[in-house]
Amino acid sequence: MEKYIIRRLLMLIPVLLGISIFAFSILHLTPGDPALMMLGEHAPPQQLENLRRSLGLDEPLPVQYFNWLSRAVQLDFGRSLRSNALVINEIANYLPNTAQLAGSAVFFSVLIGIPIGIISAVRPNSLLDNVAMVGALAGVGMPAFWQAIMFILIFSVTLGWFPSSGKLGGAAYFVLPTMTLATVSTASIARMTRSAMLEVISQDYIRTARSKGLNERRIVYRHALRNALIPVVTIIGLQAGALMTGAVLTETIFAWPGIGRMIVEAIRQKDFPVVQGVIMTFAVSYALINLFVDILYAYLDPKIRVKYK
Amino acid sequence: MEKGQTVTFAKKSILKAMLRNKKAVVGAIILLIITLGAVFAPFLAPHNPIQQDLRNRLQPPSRDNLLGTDQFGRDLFSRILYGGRISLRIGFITVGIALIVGGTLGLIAGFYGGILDHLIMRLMDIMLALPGFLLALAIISALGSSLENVMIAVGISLIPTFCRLMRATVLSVRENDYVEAAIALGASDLRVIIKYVLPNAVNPLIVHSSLTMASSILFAAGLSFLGMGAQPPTPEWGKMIADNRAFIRASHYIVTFPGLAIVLSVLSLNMVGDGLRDALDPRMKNL
Repeated sequence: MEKYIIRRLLMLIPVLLGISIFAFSILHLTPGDPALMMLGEHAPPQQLENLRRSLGLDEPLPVQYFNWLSRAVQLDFGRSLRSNALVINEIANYLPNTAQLAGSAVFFSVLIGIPIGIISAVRPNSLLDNVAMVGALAGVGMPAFWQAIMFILIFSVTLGWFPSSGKLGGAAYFVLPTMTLATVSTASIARMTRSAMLEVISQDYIRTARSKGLNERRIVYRHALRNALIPVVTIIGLQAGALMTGAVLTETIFAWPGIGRMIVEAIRQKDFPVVQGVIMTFAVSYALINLFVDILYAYLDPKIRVKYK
Repeated sequence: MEKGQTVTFAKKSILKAMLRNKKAVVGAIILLIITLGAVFAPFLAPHNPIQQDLRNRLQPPSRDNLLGTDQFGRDLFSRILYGGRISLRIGFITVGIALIVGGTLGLIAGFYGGILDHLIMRLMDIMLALPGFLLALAIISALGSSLENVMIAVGISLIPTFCRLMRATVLSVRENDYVEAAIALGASDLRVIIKYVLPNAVNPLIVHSSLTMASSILFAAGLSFLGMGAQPPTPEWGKMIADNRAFIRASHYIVTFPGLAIVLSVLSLNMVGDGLRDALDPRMKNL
């Protein structure tokens, strides 16, 4: 198992190097002089020259990249061009807020999605199943930004139950962003649980359990669910991508102080060091989450566990 | 003759399977209405979509303005019809980019294998190291905000899945004895690709295209919502939601209806895609 983990960690290195080249070149793919673009057209030449020198823009590209990379592996992404704060400090301030929001979304989507999937699978094609599955299909197709505005309209503007923006402490601020972010993952988890349960229920060992005369509750929860949960674990992991996408939009709408909103602001303000830092943060988190899910999967499924012994 | 019969038979059974699938039929009808509305927008739209009428701002739905008006007094129904043109065009162009580039790369990787395969697939791994929307967002940050750049960015972000699908199809087709036989008989690479590989790749690619088009429309609307895509006064659905957002207290219709338009397009594409998948390739059901 350790061998497997180490091998997977080593495999991350070339991928992250590739992403770092991409993140680095964002600044240089942009048409025009980066320094001019950052400071505006009316910047004095001396200031432009200083910025070029401080960013190392006067050196050849490969040299610039290696300088940037050697600082980046030490978590030094430079300073924000707008606030002049160290990018890594900004990320450290904002990342926990994104993690809290994503964590609460995952928690609630598991809490709601899995029971819906089980109920749908136990009574396939019932009214409840149909309603749940149409709801799940709609949940996947709804743009997070639209849904967020609808929630604000209903629960904030009309009913006045929850605050519509910010994170000033208190659970109330979590409610609407969590609802928005959890929708897609709840829908996917419900669909996945249903199809995994349906597949397990048709297996021979479930028929055996039935013919032994076990009660249905014990069959569903003890025999079927345990086996069906393995693919569900992967879908929770696959939600990481959807959650990051959702975080960018959700945080922007609810003025949530996370790294999703941070990158949108940085792109708008052409604050390239921040954009680069946040992209690397997203890539590393995404890679680690996927790795964690694969390991968990191997741990849960004895068939895979044996393979990597 | 015999071959022709089997082909028509297969097509008929696909159509039958699709018609039996209620969700797919409903999806296809919605999609058809949206497409017709978009194609014939110049004839169907009662007003000019960018014509302002400041005396007629933020009106609720009425006989003259079926879905009401926005903060500049523009007719929402006309704007949504024209918005359909943009969203469908984005869907086709982005999927077209991904299909051509990704499909070709996958074909090369699967067919020639070796170092080419290795290089292409590692490149895809790098592209998949960021979730698609974030990759598109990062590309936009370099290219600058415009509708064209959104299409390029979203198109690029969709390449990896098409590449992997194509490669997997090529690898499975190559396993067949008849392909080995054709190669042994001296068939050229091009002939093997056209005669054996592509026909087998068509079905999975169609299914994947329709499902991907749904996410592409969502991505593009999201980017426009963030202000990184369509610029005013373009009647793009995501941009309309962003611009009208500040006025929801006065009139919620201006946000509700463009959002419903996105939901209906995405939903119908997903329903048709799911239906196609079940009809064309029962093996893919659980993917």
